[in-house]
Amino acid sequence: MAVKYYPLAAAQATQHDLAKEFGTSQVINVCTCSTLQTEIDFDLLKKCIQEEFKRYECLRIRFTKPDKNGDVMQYIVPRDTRDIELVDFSGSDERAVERKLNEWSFEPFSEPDAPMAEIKMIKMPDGYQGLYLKIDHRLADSSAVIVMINDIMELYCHYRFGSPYPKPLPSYTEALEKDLERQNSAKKTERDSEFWDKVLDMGEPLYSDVTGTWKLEETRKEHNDPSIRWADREIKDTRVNFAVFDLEPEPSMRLLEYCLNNNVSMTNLLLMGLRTYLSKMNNGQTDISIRNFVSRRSTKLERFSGGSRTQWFPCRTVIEPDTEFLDGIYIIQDFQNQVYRHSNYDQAALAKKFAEKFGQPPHTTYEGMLLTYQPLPVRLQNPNLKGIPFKSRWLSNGTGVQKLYLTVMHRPDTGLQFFFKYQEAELSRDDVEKVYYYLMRIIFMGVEHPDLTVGDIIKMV
Amino acid sequence: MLEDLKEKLGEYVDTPIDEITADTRFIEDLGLNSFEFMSLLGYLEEEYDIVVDENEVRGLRTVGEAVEYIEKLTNEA
Repeated sequence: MAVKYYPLAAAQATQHDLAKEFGTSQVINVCTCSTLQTEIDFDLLKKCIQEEFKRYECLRIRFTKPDKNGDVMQYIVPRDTRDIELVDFSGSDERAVERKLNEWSFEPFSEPDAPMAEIKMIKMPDGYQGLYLKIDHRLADSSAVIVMINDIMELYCHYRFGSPYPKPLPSYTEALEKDLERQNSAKKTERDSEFWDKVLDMGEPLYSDVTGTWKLEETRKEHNDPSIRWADREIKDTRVNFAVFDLEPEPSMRLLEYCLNNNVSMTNLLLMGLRTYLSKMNNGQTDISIRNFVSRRSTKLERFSGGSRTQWFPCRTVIEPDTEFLDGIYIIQDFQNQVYRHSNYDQAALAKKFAEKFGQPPHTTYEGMLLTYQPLPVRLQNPNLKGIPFKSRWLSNGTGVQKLYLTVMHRPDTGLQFFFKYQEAELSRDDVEKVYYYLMRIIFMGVEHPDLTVGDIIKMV
Repeated sequence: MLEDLKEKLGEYVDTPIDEITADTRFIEDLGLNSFEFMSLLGYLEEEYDIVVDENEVRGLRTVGEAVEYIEKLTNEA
C-alpha cells in the first residue's frame, strides 16, 4: 500500500515551529520513566513494547526532509520491528544513572525519515524495573504517552497473568484526517476566529511576572517605551531546571471535593490560585493572563488515538479585589468554557492576531507562566499489579523556552504532584518554592474560607 | 434529533447508545466533564448551524433538554 503524506496539524506545527526557532528538536523531546518494584519478565515486556508499535499508530510517524521553508510532511510506516534494549543500572550510583537518563533525554532525534520514539527497558539501582521513553512532541503529548504506558502494562498483564486483551487503540490517522479537515474548513474556523477577535477587542493584556513588576519595568526601559504591556522572553539561555512538590492524598482530596461540591474544575481552581498569586506579586494588578494548555481530547477517538493534540491559549481575566474567591473561579470558568468551544483554533493564527492587533513583537509574552493540569494518571489499573509500588516521572529534555511552566498531575496514591519547569536564567529555585508556597496558601485559604474576597486573601497570605 | 444526538454522544462516552434516553443526564449519568460538554456544544453549533447562548446552555442537564433547545434554535433560524 502506498504511503500517504500529511501536513502537520496545528498542534503539531506549533511544536515543529519551536524546534525550528531554536534550531534543535531537543526542545520538543518528551521523556518519561515508569518503573515497578517487582521482577519484570523482560522478554515478555519486549514483546509487549514491540506489539505496542503495531497497536499505537502514532509511534510509527516519520517526517520528511524539510522543504525550503523548513516545513515537513508526516507519514506512518507500516511496521517497526526494532529490537528493544535492556539497560541494567543495578548496582550503579544513582547520580550516574541520572546523568545517563539526562544524556538520553537531551539527545535530539535524527531526522528525516527516522524513528521519532525510543523505548528502553531499564533496571534501576533501587530495584525498580520498567521502561524509559523518549518521544518527539509532534508524535505525542503527555496524554498520549500515558495512554501508551497504560496500554503496554495491560498487554503485559494479559500475557503474564491472563487478564483480558486490551481493546484496540483507535486510529491516529483517522483523528489526524478529521483535524486537518476541520482546520482547512473556512466555515468551521470562522466562529473560532470571531470568538478570539472578541477576546482581543477587550484591549491589550498586561504582563504580570511571578517575581513582581520589575520584569515589565525592565522591558519598558530596554525598549524605551513606558506604555509597553508585554515582556521579553529569555531565548538565548534556555537551560532549565525542575522543582517538584508533592501534595499528600488527604489535602489533595479536599481540593477535589471542593471542586466537586462547587461544580468547578481543578484547572479553574489552579488558575484562580495562580492568578491571585500573580496579582499579589504585581501590586494588586487585576488584569492577569496565564497560558493554559487544553488537551483537546473529548471523544473516544481523540482520547485514545495518541498524537499531539494539546494547544495553549491565554486565560485572561480581570478580577476585582472585592470578588469572593469562588466567584473568581466562576469568572475563570465562564471564560474557559468559551475557550474550550474554540480550542480547535490554530494557536499560530491566534499569535498572529495578537501581533497584528497590538504590535506584539516575536519572543515576547503577556503571560508570566503556563499551566497544564493532567487529570489522567499513569496508574496500575490491572488487579494483577495491585499493591506493587510504582514510580512514574517525567524527565527534563534539558532546555526550555518558557520562564515557568507548571504541570499538575495525579500521583498513583491519589495525591497531587506540582511539577515546575523553570528557566535558570530567569528564576531561582527559591522563586519557584515561593510560587508553590503561596499557591498552596491562597488555594487552601480560598477553599476553607469561602467568604473571603480576593483582596482579603492577598493581604492575609 | 434525539437519535442524532445519541449517536454523537456515543463518540464521547462508553454508555451504549440504546441506554441513552431523553432523561439521561450529561454529567451525572454520562460523566461528561466541562471540556467534553463544551466540545459537544461546539460540534452541535457547527452541525446545525446554530449559535448557542452561554447562559442558556449552562442550565441544560439532560439529553432531552438539549434536544428541545436545539430544536428551538433551528426552528428560529
